[in-house]
Parts: sequence; C-alpha cells; structure tokens
Amino acid sequence: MQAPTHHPRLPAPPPQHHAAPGQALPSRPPVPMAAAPSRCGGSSAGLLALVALLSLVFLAACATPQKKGNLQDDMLVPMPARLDINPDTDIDYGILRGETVYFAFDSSIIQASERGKLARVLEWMQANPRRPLFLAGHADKRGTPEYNRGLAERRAQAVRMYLIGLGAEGELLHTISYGEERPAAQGDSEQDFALNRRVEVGVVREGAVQRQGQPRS
Amino acid sequence: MAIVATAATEQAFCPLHPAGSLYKQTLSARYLHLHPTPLTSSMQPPCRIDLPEMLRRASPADMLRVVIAGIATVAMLVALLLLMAAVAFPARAQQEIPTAPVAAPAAPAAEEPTPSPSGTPASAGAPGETIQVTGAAKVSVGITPITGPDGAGATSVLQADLRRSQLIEPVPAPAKYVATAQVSGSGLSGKLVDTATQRVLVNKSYAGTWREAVHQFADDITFATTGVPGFASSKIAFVSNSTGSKELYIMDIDGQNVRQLTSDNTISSGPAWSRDNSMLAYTSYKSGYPDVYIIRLASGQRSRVAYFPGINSGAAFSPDGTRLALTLSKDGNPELYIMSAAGGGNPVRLTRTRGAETSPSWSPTGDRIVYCSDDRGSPQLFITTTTAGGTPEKLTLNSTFTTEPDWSPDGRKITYTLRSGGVFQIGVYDVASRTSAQATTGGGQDSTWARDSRHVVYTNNGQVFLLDTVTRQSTLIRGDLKGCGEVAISK
Repeated sequence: MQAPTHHPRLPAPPPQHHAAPGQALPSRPPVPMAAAPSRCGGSSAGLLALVALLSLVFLAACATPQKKGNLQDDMLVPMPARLDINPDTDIDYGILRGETVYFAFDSSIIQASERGKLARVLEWMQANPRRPLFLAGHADKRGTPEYNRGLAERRAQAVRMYLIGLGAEGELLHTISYGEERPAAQGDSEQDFALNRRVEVGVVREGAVQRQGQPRS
Repeated sequence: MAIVATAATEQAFCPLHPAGSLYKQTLSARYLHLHPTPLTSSMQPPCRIDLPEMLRRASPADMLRVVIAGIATVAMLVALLLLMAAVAFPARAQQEIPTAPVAAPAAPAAEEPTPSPSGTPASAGAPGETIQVTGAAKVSVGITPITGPDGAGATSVLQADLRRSQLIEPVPAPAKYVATAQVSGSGLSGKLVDTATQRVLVNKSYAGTWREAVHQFADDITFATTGVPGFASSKIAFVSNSTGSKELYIMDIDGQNVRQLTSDNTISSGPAWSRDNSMLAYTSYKSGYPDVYIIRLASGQRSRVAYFPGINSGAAFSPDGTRLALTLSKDGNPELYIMSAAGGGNPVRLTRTRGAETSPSWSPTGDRIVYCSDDRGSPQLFITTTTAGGTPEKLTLNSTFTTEPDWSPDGRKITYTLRSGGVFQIGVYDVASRTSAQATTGGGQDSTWARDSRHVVYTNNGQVFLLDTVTRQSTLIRGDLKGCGEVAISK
C-alpha cells in the first residue's frame, strides 16, 4: 500500500513561506463608519477639491511608514498574567484537538489552509465565554533545542495574534512553548516532522483556575 | 457622492479638530484613518460641519484657493513620499546585500570537503599575543612519575590533560620543563621547573580529590609553558534524557565524575555557566511553565529567577555574573532582554522584531551580545549592544541557517551551529576578519568554547565531543553516554 503523500489533516506545502513574516495576520477589521445621508453639492470645482482631499487622505495612509525590522510597540499585545495552574495537568487538549494548526518547516506563518480552524476556535470561544485557552507551540526535532523553543513560541504567538485579529480577547489567550520536546509523532520521516510542527489549542479545565492564589513552587 | 458625506461624518467623530476649514477636515479624516479603534459614540462632535453646504457657499475665488492649496499639499506629500522612498530603498538594499552572497556559496559548501587543517580558521587574520601552536610545534614537558597513593592514575591523567591541550607533548624527564608532584590524602603538591634557567614556574599545593588537583596542576603547567589558559579543570554541563526525561548533569572534561544535578521528571534545558563557574542558569518546566533557574553548585541551592508570562529561556550570564541575557515573550513576541541575575526588577528589552530572538551570548567585555534571530526568514546570527536601542548587525556566515552562537573568551571568535545540505555542523566565525568556516564534517550542534578559545565542546547524535578548531579533530569524550545534548563547558 502506498502511503498518502499528505496527511489528510495537514496543509498542503505553501508555495512561498519565505514571504514577509506577519503577512499572514488578518488585516484589522475596518473602522465602522456611521451611515450618513448622501447629499451632494456637485460643482466641478467642489469635485476637484474633493479629489484633492481624498488623494491627500490616501497619500497620508500610504505614507505611514511600514517598519520592518524595528517595529512599533503598539503592534504588541502583551501576554496576560500567568494562571496559577500547572499547564502539564490542568489543560485539556482534547476538546479542540481537531483545530491543531500545522506549519511549514522553519516557519511560523499561518497558512491559508489552517485559517478555518482558527475561525472555529473563535466560535468555540464565543460559545464558551471567559474560558482561557492555551496555545501550545511545538517544533520538529531538526535544529537546536533552544532555537526550536523560540520558533515554537513564535508559532503560538502567531496563532494568538491571528485570533486577536479575528476579535478574540487577548486576555484569554495564553501561550506555552514546548519546542521539540513533545513530539506528536515519534518517527523521523517528513510525515512525522510535519505532524510535529504544530500549535495545539488547549482549554483550561473548569475548576483549575478557581484554585488560583494558592502558592506554587 | 456618498464619499462626501462619509468624509463629513468622519470629521464629526474626531475630538481633536472641533471646527473649521477644509484643511482641518482633511486632518481629521487622516486622524481617523490612522486610528483603527473606533472612537466611542459618547464623544459628541463639538460642532458639526456640513461639507456640501460649505462647498455651495464658497465663492469661486475661495474654491480656487482651496484647490491650489490642495494641489500644493498633494505635491508636497508626493515630494515627501519620493524622498522617503529614496531614503528607504537604498537602506533596504544595503541591508539585503550580506544576505545574497551567503545564499550562493552555501550550496557548494555542502559538497566541498572541508579545507585541510593548514588553513587555520581560528587564527586567520588575528595575530595574537597568545601562542598559536599547531601540531607541528608543541612544547615538551617532562613528567616525572607522580608519587603517593593513586600516583600512577594521577600521572596518566596529567599526561592526558596536557596532551588534550594540543599545545604540549608530555615526555619522560629530562626535558626543558620538568613537572614533579606528590599525591597526599588532602590533595596534591606540584612543581614545574624550567631546567634551562632553573626557574621554578609552578610550586603549589592543590586541595580536593587527586583528580581535581591534577586537572588544576595541568592548567597551571599549560599556562606557564604556553601562555594559553588550560581547560583541564573545566567541567561540562549537559542535558540527557537517559532516565526518560531531560535532566541536567555535569562531568569532568575527561568524562569522569558524571553527576546528575536535577531529578525533576520534567524538561530541563540549556545550561549556561557563570564566568566564575559557581553557578549554572538553565530552563526548567518544573512549574509546568518554562522558567529560568539558577543553581549554586557549592551549596546545591536552586532559585527561580525568571517566570514571566510566556517563555523564559536561553539565559546567559554577563561576564561579571550580575546580569542575565535571555529570551522572554511576555510582551507578545520572543525577544531578548537583560535582567538582574538575582531576579526581580524590570527586564530591559534589547530587540523588537516579528521573528524570534534566542540564544544570547555575551562578548567577554560585556558590551555586546551575539544571538540568533529568524526575523528575515531563516535563523541568522546578529550582534547588538547590551543597552537598549542598539542597531543589530547581521553576521555574514557560510550558511543561511545558523543558530546557537557562543562568543570565545578571548573575544575573537564565535562558534555556532549551521545547517548545510540538511546536516547540522559546527561553524567558527572570526570577528576581526569577518570570515567563517565549517569546523566539522560529521555533524554536530550546540558548541561552546573552552577557556583556551581554541577547543569547543559540542554534541552529535546524543554524544559529547571535544573539537580542536585548529586541527579540526574531534574526540569523543565518553563512549557510554546516551541521549545527550545542549552542552556547555565551564570557563
């Protein structure tokens, strides 16, 4: 029997995963504008003035510097305070197992094929308000452990920012990185590696958070 | 036409520009455009301008003035835009230049055999005050058999230590330099004499076990005869999963005295020595979260120093031991920070990118840090200052995938892990000449410098090796270790 070339749950390899990182983030929701009555004065001079005005607005928008290597702080959404739980025991990764997000090699970009999963995660969050989620980043074992821990955290943060972009509350989204330490598949095939490059979405068990305030070592 | 009304409505939402002209109108529209968060409806407009009405009332002269003003403003903005583009594009092009040439030679580098040891990557372009002796010119040191209990064992350990330095050939006395020593219950007393001048170069009592004492004597002999700091007394910290979970260990440079430091049944990772070798910083998931801990080796005392939201990892001690450079993601992205090694306080952030910054390593002077960042796609090494606001400089290396840098104690070299043809290898970068070379062919990763700035310790397939970066010879340190990784040699 011939093994399938792609795991059914895995995304197809992206055509270009070396595009600008962060590109995968959804654009901000448009600013809601109040509907206004449409009245028009309509002289050609007025039109000209308006064209000038609009191009000014357009140019002003274009002129906003797109900083690449050195970003502004307002792009960051700080992490919520740690929950006083033990992520090893107090998180249920079973509930949203089907929404595990997979990544290309050495990439933290959320591929188009994975976006539907995050829309479903958002739906779950809306249906279960105030339930904190853990986004657990993982990497395949190739490369050095410390780099992989950073890469896996970056993947978890990319998922977090994507969900925030969809409208999720950042205060409910925690990240944890396991780097290459907890593979989902133990083998050394490309197929196994692809299954290990992932962000699992875990739900903090009900009751776990109520134990907050008890000191932990 | 609908747009006209929209513009007017937008103005109504802006609290900063309460009244006025078309010019203010445009400003308000711009203001709104740049503020994606909608302002609340409770902010009532101080006054509402009806734009179409205003346009109707304006005289042709007014209109002309407005049009001219508008065109002039547009022209100014276009000019500004062009200026910005002119500034931005050459700057970007300059940044990209180092990247392009790296990519091209990377592929052939994988197929070409490593150049012969004669092309010493380590000493290239760096004329030194330290003696750079290659295999051809070693210093002969005569060893008189060590007396006392364990004398025979001590003699062979001393010979192995001196040989490992690659700078000294131990020979039977007599020779120009002659070493004599006695082992006693409390340690060892050793003496080194230059027979040509009859000068006593070393005359010392070493406390501790005879093994520890011999290693220290070997380092004193190495320094006295070559001027290079010996590393026989160094210890290797490493991680092994041989018990089923990743625990922290240390052992001597010759593979003896393996000691397990943690038994936490969790992930322990990334040990780093303080410069005085009294402390180890490492990452542990003991609390369930990745936190940074410090172990004081003399007392065994362990303290958790970094436990911010997100990851706390990759800690490296500053040369004076008072600060840690590490990766934190508390602000929403894995970035480099510097914090007090005592814990507490407010960490100072050094980087801000879209990528992940990991594995900082301090220059010996403590003013710069080399680290790994994947902000430009694949992981690359950068150097920045240890104060906030530095401009990172990308190193041009022999691979487009480079991680885990470690700055040599003499400040001249940086060793790192590179990916070439899908295989990970050890690289050495020369800081002065800005050249890089691959120092292994059989694979390797996680290299750190020994005290002599010539040898590195690294791992490959779960085993620990010592590499001489001058001769490019690797030696397996101990054959029976399994599942080892993330080594760090004490300084």
